Amino acid sequence: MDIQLISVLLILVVAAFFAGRAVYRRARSFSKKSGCEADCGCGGKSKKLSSKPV
Amino acid sequence: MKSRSEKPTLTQVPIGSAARVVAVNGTNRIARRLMEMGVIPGVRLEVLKTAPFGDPIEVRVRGYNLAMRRSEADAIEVAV
Amino acid sequence: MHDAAQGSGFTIALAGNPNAGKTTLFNALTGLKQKVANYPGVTVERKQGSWRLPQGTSDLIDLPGLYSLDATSLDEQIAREVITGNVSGLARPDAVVAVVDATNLERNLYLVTQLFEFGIPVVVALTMIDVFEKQKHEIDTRKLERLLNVPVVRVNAKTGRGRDELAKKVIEVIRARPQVPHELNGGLADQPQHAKIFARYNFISNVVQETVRHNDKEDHRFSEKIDRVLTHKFFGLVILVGVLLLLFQAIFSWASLPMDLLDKGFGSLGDWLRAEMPAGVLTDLVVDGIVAGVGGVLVFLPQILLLFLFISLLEDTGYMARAAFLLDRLMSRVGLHGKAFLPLMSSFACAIPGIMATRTIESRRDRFATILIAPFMSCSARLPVYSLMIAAFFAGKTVFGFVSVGAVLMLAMYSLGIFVAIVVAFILKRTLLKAPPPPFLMELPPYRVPNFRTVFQNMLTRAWLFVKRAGTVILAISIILWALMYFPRDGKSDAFTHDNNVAESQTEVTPEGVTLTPESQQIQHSFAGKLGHTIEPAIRPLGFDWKIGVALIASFAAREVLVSTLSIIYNVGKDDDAQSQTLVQALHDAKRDDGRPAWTPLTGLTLMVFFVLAMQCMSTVAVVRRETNSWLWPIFMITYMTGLAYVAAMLTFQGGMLLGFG
Repeated sequence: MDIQLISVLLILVVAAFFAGRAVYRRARSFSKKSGCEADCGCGGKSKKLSSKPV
Repeated sequence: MKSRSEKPTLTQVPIGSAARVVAVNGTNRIARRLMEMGVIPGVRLEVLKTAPFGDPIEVRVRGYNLAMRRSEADAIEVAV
Repeated sequence: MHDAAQGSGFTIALAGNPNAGKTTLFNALTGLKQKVANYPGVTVERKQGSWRLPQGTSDLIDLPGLYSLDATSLDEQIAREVITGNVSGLARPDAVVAVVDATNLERNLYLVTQLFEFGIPVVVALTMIDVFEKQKHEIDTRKLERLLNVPVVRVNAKTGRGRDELAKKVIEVIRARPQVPHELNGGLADQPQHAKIFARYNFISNVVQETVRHNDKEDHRFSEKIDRVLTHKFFGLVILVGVLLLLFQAIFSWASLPMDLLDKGFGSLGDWLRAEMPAGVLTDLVVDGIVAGVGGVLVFLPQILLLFLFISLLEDTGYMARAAFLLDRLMSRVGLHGKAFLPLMSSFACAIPGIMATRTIESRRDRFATILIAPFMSCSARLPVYSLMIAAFFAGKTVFGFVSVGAVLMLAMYSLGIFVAIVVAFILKRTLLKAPPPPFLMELPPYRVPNFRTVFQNMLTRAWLFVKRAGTVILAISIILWALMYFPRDGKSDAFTHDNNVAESQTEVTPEGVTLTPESQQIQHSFAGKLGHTIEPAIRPLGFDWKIGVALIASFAAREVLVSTLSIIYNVGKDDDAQSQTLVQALHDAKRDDGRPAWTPLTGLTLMVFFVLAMQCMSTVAVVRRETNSWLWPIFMITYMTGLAYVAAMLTFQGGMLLGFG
């Protein structure tokens, strides 16, 4: 096994871990309790519009 | 929109004219909101314009511009 | 109470009407040291920052913009709880700075009179003085102080002038005797609500009469003059469409040069890496997976920047309010709530905050209706997809001489989403989600010159989020996708020695008689290839081949991933020695298994139509699940949206073929 293949496999494992964690966090945000710390994917910060309906 | 009584409401004030508020009818949230925004008896309202299709309307009150639907304006009794 | 001598650790709340300059002041006082989160359990935005006072740093809480504190809406309830110290994790504020817009004094002072009832020390920050005085009004600040019995400090929220004085006064009031809650005309606690409101406004009218001299001579209602055109009964809507068209045109033309540069840049990077790194699996991963995948998305950064720039400008100038005014009739006809405008507008940036913003809609049915149609507002992640299709198949042509076909198509795609949303809302409100017509009451603030610092800050924040997303989620997915297309090696080319020389006798020939290159063979046999071939029959009526199918599946993770995936697919299947090409070129050159071109303008259009309507990313599904507290609605959404997208795409493709565009 050459070093290139080993690095690739390592990177793959790390990537799979991150992807899996991202899915897990989204699944966790199913509870009403968590505010927006579980980054729901688009960056929950939304700029409030200056024209607010009453 | 039919008025609930024979008393004139804001919806009957033509564009460009002004009127004084006599009462704000209704106990729902909108009536309450209107009052909190300053629409209370004695205040002068000026009807500025309507949107395409006639609804909503834009009104000047206490120095600022407020938009509301005709159905909401109907709750405001006025004296021309 | 905190030790005033030490001065550190104060908590101060910032309250005021919307459009009073509160956020601008907040930014001026805290600089960039801000933190945005949520109050527990709700989607009311919680903004905190550090404000350096002479004696130390204080925690400044930016309350939502409010017209009143009587707790009839969620925002107001939260604000009350913050002020009374009932929010966990937040100390009771030691003082409140009330931002009061001098040009709108009476309504702004209403909130101040309510603050008195809490017994909390108050300092009034009088903003918009420059505008006020330009209109030749006069105000006696000292007298106002006396009548209100609180310090009144003139501040310029934009320049920050007056903030030292403000800080001084805040510390003064905190150190002064503790305040006693007092209501005007005392003992009103048991009176019906409207009597209280009248009492407050009576007080205010008297105060204003004594302290303000209005100049009635000039017609200084400049905004109304502008509005005579912009919200014209007949031309208002036409102008709105025109503005949007120009917006898209600008996004196109201004972004094209930077995008080209980025595109070529990433291409060169890929070539350079391939030349410098030893041939092997890792090199393939880096060049064909990472650079192709992440680079493919980052190319669109200039467009994203411009999109958010324009959204900010529209908001800050006040034009958004006029748009809401013009469109309300349409919205109420389909049963949409007036408060739905904000969530739907937000959804053009990203549906997730938009869907969360629907919490301000009290009626459950109205709220669900809004949530269900929010994803039709094409979010910013779809922009790279539209942009790519347009660049590949519709570039160069113009309409009316200067508006590009691309801009028109963009507008068309966004409009398609809006149109479908309206129709669906109409149907929903008539059937599943019947509810009484909702109210609409909105201030039309005067037009303002936007605060460029705020606009710029916002743009940068958005851009950073985009890049961060590319560097994390999209990076991870690109790597995985690359692996799915790279493995298993089909044995004819050796993964370990990376020798792609294949003997003649081992080349494959497809049923249609096309000789596959070793690289195309490779993809056919990969995991992704097998998956793609499985679903190909389902998407053939749409004119898509299996590679596009793979990309569609992958984009469920994040919409932009479609671009990454295409980039990877066309790179992995490419000969090592070939120069890297831009994705657009790759699309032009791509061939199906039978040798025909994989992409035509019609295919591009069909894909865009599909993207407008198809169920969004998994993050959106998660948020809908959370906000509706059941699985029924997300599943319903996935089903009806995907079905709609499929049918629409099929109609587009088949219709186009019939008309001879294929």
